[in-house]
Amino acid sequence: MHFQSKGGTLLERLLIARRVELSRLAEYWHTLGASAFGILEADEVVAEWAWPAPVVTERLVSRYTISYPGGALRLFVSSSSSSPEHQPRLETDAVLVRELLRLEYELSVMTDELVQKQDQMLALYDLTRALRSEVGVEGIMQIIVQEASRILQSGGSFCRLVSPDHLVQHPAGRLPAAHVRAWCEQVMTQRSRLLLEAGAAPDVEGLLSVPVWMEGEVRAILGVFDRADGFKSPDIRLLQAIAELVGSKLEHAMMYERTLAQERINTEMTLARQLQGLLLPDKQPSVPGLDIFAAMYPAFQVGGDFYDWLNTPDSFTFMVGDVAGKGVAAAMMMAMIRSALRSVARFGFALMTPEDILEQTCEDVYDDFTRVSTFTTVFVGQYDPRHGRLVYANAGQSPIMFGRPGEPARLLEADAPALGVLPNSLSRNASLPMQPGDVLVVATDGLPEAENAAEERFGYDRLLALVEQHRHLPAADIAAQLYAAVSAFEDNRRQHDDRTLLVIKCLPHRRAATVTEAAEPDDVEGMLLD
Amino acid sequence: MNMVVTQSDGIALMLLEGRFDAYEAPRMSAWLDENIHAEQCRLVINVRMVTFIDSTALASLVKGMKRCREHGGNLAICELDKPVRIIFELTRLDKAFLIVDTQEEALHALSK
Repeated sequence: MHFQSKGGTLLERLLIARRVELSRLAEYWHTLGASAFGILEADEVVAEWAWPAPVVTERLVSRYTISYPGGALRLFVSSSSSSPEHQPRLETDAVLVRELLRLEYELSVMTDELVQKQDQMLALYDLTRALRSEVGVEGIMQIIVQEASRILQSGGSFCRLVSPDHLVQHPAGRLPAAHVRAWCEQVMTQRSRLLLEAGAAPDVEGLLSVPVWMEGEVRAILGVFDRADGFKSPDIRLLQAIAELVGSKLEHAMMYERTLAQERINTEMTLARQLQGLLLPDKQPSVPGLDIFAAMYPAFQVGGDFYDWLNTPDSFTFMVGDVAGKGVAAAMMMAMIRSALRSVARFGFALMTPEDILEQTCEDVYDDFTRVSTFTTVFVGQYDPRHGRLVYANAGQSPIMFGRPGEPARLLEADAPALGVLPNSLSRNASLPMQPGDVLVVATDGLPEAENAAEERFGYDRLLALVEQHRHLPAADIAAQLYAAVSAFEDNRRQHDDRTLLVIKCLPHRRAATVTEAAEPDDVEGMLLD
Repeated sequence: MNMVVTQSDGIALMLLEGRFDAYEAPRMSAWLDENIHAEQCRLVINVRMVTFIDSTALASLVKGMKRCREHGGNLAICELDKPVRIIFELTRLDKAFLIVDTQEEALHALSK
């Protein structure tokens, strides 16, 4: 058999596959005296069986056209003498050849599909294996782009996650990110594939991009580009199969990372809460003439509240503060401000009044607080049990509420902003003689800022009314009533900020024992008086 | 929270709207880091439409004030509605910030 190759590989493949049957037909024609038998496509010989013949007289061509996916063919026979039955015979052979080629073509299509499916399965198997040990989103995306390029034999590939927005390319930086994002936007908008022929887009020689679905949404986009022969239907199917695998893998990875991040936050919160708890006094102070109760009710996310005191026979110095910010950062700044306050108050205890303590602490912490962009409100009170007098200074702390029998409860407002706002403390001492029945409530803003379902805040008026209403109760009960009222108001909504209450109630004079009688060794907290 | 920034004679004018809390403060902080420098150190923040402000948000405003002053400029806050004004007064931040009633006054104060 002799072929006139026209680059028609499909025809060649079909004819070669059926060469035995075609040769038999040719042999038969030879026995009938033919010198050549063959196949024409548009008058050109594409296959021919020929035998030596001295004289060629005529060529008989079939009228029946053999259609195949690449074109149309006819049979021909050359012989020195044709007989009348040759033409019908040739037509019959043409029908036979058509059937042979049709069957061969169908077989070839089925075989191709089978091979493709097998290739795809192998490629996906390789991809699954490559992804097996990778659990991170970034790692998965890196593997995907490398494998997609390899499997689809493309010069490059990309994978873009929509949220959080993240783009990975292979080779890295091959295309301007803006171009890739523009293609991704198209895929997301159309929610279907994007196929660009070579020359249709700048920078790439052909592009195929498909959506990656996760939980019913297009959450990522996968693309391959740069292939000289362009991307065809099998490539689309293959990339879609990869996208399905990628979708499920990324979905799991993202869920895993979310759980991990949540776990990390929980751990961080636990640490911050532990740190905060460790820094608070572990028991209530005992001060002659006073009934004192202090508590901090932490929010899920540590809010930076703190309280502390130094109790000596001569004075009871206490402080309540709130570091702006949340979490570990707030807890660490809280630890710092507490140490600074304690160190100032401790070493200058006899001489330092509340405003001195704030002034010195402000100098000590201002630069650090500026560096981390935060500040802390602080209320410092100093009670002199001998004279029943309270001196205090307040750097931005609120609310401070004072209740006296026979008078409406009132707010003691700060006279200066929080420490860390200005280089110097502007806070000055204020004096408050404490009388039996007087109640001082030093609280943090977590109480008035508690919100109900209608986003209405608890506010200061309700707090003042409660102080007035429960002033007759012991300090611990006043605190319990305030906290319970705030909790009831927000009705099981999550507490957003720490809540601290330090309640000091002045006892009747008969209970105000002398300092020496009351000050037991246990009461001297944190002081190295020896 | 919505944050819209315009320019008025070399002064950045920021209009805030909504709840300004710990979740929004990082955005403000990032904006300040990027936009407040030697050439742009005068900032007016109009809080007329701010419904709530918490201490973390206040800390970001203090940061803004410090940055502006560090570069020789200042930060002015204007049009405080009652709930926000109360917070500034109770925390005495009104002693630290330049606070004025109207936007015009704020722009005028910073243009000196």
